[in-house]
Amino acid sequence: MSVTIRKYWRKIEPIAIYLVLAFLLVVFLFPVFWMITTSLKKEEIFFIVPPQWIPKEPTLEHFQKVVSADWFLTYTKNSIITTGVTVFATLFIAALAGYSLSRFKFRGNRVVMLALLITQMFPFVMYLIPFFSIYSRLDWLNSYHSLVLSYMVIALPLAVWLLKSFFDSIPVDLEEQAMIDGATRMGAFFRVVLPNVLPGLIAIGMFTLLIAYDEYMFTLTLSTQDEMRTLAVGVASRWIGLFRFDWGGLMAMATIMSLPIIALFLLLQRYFISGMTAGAVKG
Amino acid sequence: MKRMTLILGILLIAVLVLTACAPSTVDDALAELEAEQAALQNQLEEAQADLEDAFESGSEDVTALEEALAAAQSSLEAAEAAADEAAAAAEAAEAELMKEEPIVLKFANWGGTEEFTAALFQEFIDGFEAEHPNVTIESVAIPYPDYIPQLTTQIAAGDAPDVMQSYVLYSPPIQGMGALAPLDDYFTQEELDDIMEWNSGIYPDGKLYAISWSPGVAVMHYNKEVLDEAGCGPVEELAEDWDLYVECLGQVAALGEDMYGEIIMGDKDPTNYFWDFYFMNGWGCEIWDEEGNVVINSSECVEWAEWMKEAYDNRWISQGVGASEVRNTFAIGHGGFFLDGPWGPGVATVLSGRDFWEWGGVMEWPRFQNGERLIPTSTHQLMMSSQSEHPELAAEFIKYLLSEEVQLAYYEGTGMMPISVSIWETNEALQGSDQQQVRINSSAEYVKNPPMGATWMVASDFIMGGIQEIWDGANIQETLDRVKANVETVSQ
Amino acid sequence: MDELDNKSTSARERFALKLNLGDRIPYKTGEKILAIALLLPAFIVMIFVVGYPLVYSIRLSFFERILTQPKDIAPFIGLQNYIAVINNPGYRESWVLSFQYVFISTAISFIIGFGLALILNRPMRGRTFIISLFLIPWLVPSTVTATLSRLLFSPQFGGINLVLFQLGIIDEMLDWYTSPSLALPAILAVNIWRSFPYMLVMLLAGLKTISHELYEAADIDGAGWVGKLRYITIPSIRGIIGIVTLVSIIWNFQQFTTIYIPTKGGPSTATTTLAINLYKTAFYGFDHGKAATMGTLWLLFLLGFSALYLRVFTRRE
Repeated sequence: MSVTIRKYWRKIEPIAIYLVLAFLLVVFLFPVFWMITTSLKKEEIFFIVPPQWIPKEPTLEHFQKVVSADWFLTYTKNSIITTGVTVFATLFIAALAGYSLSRFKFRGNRVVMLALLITQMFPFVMYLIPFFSIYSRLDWLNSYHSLVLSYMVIALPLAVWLLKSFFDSIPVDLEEQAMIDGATRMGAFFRVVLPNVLPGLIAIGMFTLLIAYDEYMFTLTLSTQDEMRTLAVGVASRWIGLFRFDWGGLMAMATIMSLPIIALFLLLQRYFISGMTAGAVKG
Repeated sequence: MKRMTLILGILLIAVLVLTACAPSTVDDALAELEAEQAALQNQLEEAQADLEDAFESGSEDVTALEEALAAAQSSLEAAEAAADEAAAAAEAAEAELMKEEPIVLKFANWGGTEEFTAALFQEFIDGFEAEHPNVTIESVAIPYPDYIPQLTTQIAAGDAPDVMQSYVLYSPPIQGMGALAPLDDYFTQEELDDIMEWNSGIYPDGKLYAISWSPGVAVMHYNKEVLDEAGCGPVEELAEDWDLYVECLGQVAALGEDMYGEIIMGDKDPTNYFWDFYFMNGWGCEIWDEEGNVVINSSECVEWAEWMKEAYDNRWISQGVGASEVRNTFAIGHGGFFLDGPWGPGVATVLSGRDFWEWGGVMEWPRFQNGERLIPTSTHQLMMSSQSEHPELAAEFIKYLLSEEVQLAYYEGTGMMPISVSIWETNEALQGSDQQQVRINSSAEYVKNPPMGATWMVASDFIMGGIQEIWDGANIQETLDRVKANVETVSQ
Repeated sequence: MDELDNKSTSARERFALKLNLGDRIPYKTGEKILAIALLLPAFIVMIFVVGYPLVYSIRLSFFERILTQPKDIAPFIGLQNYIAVINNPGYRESWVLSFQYVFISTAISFIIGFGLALILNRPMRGRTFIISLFLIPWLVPSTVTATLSRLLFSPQFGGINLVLFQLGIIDEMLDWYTSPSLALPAILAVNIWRSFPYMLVMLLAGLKTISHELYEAADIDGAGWVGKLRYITIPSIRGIIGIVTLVSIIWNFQQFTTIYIPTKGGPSTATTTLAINLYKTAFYGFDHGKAATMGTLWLLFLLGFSALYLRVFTRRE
């Protein structure tokens, strides 16, 4: 590549990149844009042809409908509790297990890994009846623990796998150094290794959060009473029915469900990045 | 004296009988009562002894007699008071007993999940609980699209709800699983005769497994404004002349690229039979013949399929409009005709933002060119679980839901038509011609559903798949042959 | 550490020495207990919750259990379910569809995710914000995505048709979900849209673990971006790529709501993947024996596939 082209390229490179990113963002965020504008439209104009891009007369009636529904606070509370507990429990358990699998060489290592993943390779739909049957007999239907356990079943194997691979990419020298300096294995783990996989932890925490927050099938089956249902069930079941397909309400609730998560990720993203620049793996 | 003794004796017996008759169900209360009786007996015997003494003493001493009488009287009063107490104690005991056994009855329904009906259903439940203080109705609200899978799960796990809302499509598989208890014992023939379409709940073994709750017969709705714009003739004529009807469909479609003549479901939903399959009747096409053979690939069916293809291409029927859009599409005026259950006007009003009767109406069912007038139904029903621990209570709840009170509340709140013939005949609000149209449609001579057995959902899936392929241009005979082979795999 | 000072050593060599992939600390005997103890919570959860249902379901595949044909004892029928299922053309068709759906979905979302991760891995203004924006498709609940896609791909009211039409790419409204040739691309697009952020996140985190010094050394050696990609980036995170894509594959097999809600497996059987087919067998046809069979076959395939796939990606050099 000739020197002049390279110079030229270096000048416009940032701009070019921003342009590409902007274009991609427009394409990828279009559906979300549609979701938000639909939630602001009056019902009569949902289905006019051609559809209005941005409603001329926006209305907040759908949002009011959602927030004032008598089940809304209950569902929100349940979502927060089940999601929060799932994330912390999963991260904790998965970090321990992932570390063990990464550092300790023992015969069944690969078998253990596959064994964990086996449950993911079997259709979740088939678990519905056995789960319901077992929890029914234990009288754990309509409870937080049945939901958290179900979410963990989905999230844990992946979390362990992914964390293990993050641990793998941290050289062993770090712990060895710490242990030479007098730390115990677990001390080294908490003080030296974990901070380095923080980005991985946060990423997998996010993943787990979404799994728990989003989960519909098991929640619907195991929580037959309204008091124990979550937002995920609410968004799907309250607006889609025999008589009515309430697009406005559905989109409004979808927006309400998504915005806090987006905000949360925005906050965590800063932490994620700062964690990087502070303690990234160097030589 | 002798008379006095006689009176006292009778009174004693009376008191004993009273105390014995007081309802007593608890052993403790019984023991108490027996003790009371023993005490009473003693008192009266003492009174009698006093009197006899007084008598034997020969004294016609009035005071003695008066005293004896007074003693006897006070004993009597004591006995009566004791009897009252005993009765009160027995009642309290029974109330205690009932409180010790609170009963939870589970009621599966989709009404509780939909804005349209949720508040009403809660009212129904509250009403029943008010009448039965020891009973709690737990509403197992399952969203309509997940209804069968969820119920299946609960039944398979042995934890079925006691009472279930259902309709003609959902009941056969549940019954096929042996999950339903027959309802014959709980209804007299009189009660049944008062319920429209009650025989839709009778199964091959002759028993009644599902009782109709609301007529779900199809009513042909039309959009006045659209038909006027399209220049169609009066609906009375269209209902009698198939060619005129089809011509109107074409005129409506000509109004624009996004206009459809009759709006039907285009996606693979088990409810398709309601919108799509009834056309088969116009050509004498059957899915199964009398012996149970699959004959969906007969020449009549080919003719029917050819018409379906032509109608699709010309937009006489809607293209690709799915379950989530059918009602919306009609409500915004993109179609001339739309069949829906009797709740149609209510839903259309909500969706269009205007009163349905301003822009639309209902008409008599169009007669096919072969003279047939056959209408599908999706009657809502109530069923009882065979696993229920409280069958009598469940039956009582079902009857409560069928009561006039509940039916009228249902109608006023949602437009769901009542199911009792007696209400239809007497209630003023239902005498309008439009409402009566529903009733006419419901009469047995017009109603025809495909024979929906336990495997209907799979069969319907194959058939609808075939229709979609035909709409996409596949060879009709070949496609129907394949559909026949597939349906055969699930036919008994 | 001395090797770094020797600038004549090639980047590749340096990389191989630095990364220590495959090194394990040989544990002291006391630590064996620790190793198992760390694993225990995970295993307790999995076995306790899923162990029985999994075993029960696999066992069920050898029995005849059709809910609408109840028998007092579900008869043991050996491999009959398997024979019936494998001979069913619809079943084979759903495997083909699943393959198409899963692999195309994973491949394209990986390409998009990786590309974005590479672009976003460099310092730039507003980077955090931009990354969060790209995550949004992932954050929308899956049931919402499914119904939203119904709306967007609707021939009459859909935004997608509108945009394409106004851009002049199409000249008439397309029937996405009712046309057998368009339905699969439509649901693929939805799934790719949903899953590329996951790839982005995982790969970005993985890229972060690559030491800057490697790149600096490569710069000094005069490597271009292609060279860096081939010799540093991809080999460094090969393990992570393998696992992340494998997880994506396994998950895509499970995808249900994003397909079922818009198309219900239609039109005809154009989008009836294995997951949909199984669901319909269990909940429309009520044949749980066959459903269990389909599940077990699915499991066996994925087991074998995963073992092979991992072998490729986590080979020690």
